[in-house]
Amino acid sequence: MSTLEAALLWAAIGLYSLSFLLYLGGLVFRRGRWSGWGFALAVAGFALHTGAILARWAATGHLPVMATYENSLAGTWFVMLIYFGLRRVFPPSRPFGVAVVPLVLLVLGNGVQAGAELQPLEPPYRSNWLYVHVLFAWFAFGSFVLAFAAGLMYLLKERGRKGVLSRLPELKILDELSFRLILFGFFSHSVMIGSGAIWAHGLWGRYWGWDPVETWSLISWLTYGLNLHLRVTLGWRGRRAAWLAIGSLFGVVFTFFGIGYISGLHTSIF
Amino acid sequence: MLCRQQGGEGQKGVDAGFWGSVVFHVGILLCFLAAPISAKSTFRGKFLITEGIPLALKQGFVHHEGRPLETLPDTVVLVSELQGQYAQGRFEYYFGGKLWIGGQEHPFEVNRPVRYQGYQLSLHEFGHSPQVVIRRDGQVVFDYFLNIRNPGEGDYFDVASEGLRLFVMFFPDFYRQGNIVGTRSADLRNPVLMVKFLKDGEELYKGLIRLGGAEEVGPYQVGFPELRQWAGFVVVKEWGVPVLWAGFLVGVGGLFLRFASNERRMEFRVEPAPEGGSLLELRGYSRYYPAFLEREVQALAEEVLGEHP
Repeated sequence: MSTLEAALLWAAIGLYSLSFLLYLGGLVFRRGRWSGWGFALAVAGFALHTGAILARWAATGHLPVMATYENSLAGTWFVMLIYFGLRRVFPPSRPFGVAVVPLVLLVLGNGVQAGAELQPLEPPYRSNWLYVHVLFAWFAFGSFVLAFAAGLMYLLKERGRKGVLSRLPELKILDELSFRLILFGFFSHSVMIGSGAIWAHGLWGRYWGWDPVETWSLISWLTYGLNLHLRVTLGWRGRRAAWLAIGSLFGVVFTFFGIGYISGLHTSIF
Repeated sequence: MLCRQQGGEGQKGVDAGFWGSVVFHVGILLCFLAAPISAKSTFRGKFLITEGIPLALKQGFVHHEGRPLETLPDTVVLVSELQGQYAQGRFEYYFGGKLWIGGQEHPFEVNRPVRYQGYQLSLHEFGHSPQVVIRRDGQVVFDYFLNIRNPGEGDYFDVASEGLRLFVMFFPDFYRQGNIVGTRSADLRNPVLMVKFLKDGEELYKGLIRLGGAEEVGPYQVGFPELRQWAGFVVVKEWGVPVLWAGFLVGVGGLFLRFASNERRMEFRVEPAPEGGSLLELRGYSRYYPAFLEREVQALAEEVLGEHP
């Protein structure tokens, strides 16, 4: 990565770390003001994170869409964007920062250690379908990560309704929020798979090849489809639905890591 | 909003969740339908072609499946102006050229397939094709452009007239350090060919030849007069793709309807309170998001109380 990108990224990681500590401190020590500062630092970190993405874009000449590092950089940016959007539209989701920011730090850390070499956009990626496919992929993954956070908070709050955990949003709100996020994520995931299939047909002459990323993506899609059916048709709510939201993320995690580590088809050949 | 004398009800949001779900599942069924249609109607194959050498389409396939080769159009294909570019000498950057088919020229590159009579020809492989001329006692015993498909490991070819195998490795940017040979980059800066003659797996003779040169290798003279490129195309024709497209659009449309639907209803009743003033009763109904609606009802109640304490 370039010097400017590295400076911006490490500054962003530093601010996110402080933000997490303040969010956590605000929750544990019941200091509302600390949570406010945590949010302010998260916004500042997000601004620097955006700067790091722009610096990389300027250096490589393309959006960060290739390999583990770039996917981590862009993916965490979308997770933060969805979190900010959510807390604006729906203020009870503000405490989500305590779960979302550390997840972002983990994914960014994994991306940085995977290597951040500057590379031009490989020929297979030069397609207009790239923007549709990747944009909706990040909307889907961002929504699923936040649904995971909502599920986790639900289980924590259910265990302890007093003390620190009582400051989390109401259980029924967490439950419905998780459902809405999964529905939006499922819609985005469907657009991602469909656009990817059409793109693949022009690129490789086939719309489905059962490579690991495609397979895990389909497994994730089926898992979240099942998730929605269990909620809507069989009326799963509460604790069971929270466990579903948490467990369903594993397919997404495999898909995410598969892009960088498992699949050659999605990364190198044309 | 409907109002009666002492109350009323209001509805907000699109009541299309059920139909959205139905439309989505129809889309899914269409996508599933695309698979057997593709399987039944597909021709899928792969041919390799060397730059500047015409090839009868039906004869060039190294692999095909589905409908028979005879169903392909009787035509000749030719590729020209093949270009492979690498950034910083190692990152794939651009691969493309021109394909002549049916008497017409079609530019192609990765992600830009050629379409001809319902067939899609997508660039799938690309490589170097050195011309190797082998002479023994002044007589030409081998003269071919060799499509190098495994540049890292090397490729094997039969020299049938001599009963030998020829191992070929191509270095686009050759370097040598002691006994170690290799390529510095993928750029064509110093093209060199390494050849080995093998019999029953045993190495007999070996040599290195620069582009435009010729070397004595055992009893043979091996020449490397010209370097071209070769391209591999995947050829596909199937009827499942439009069905998949339709299924995708219908399915996503249905999901959007489902997602946008958040039908909710509120009822209110106003009656005189026993202690004077009015009693306002607010009720809400939402099938999927009652907790969210509860917040909306509370916000509305607070607003009414603010205006009419």
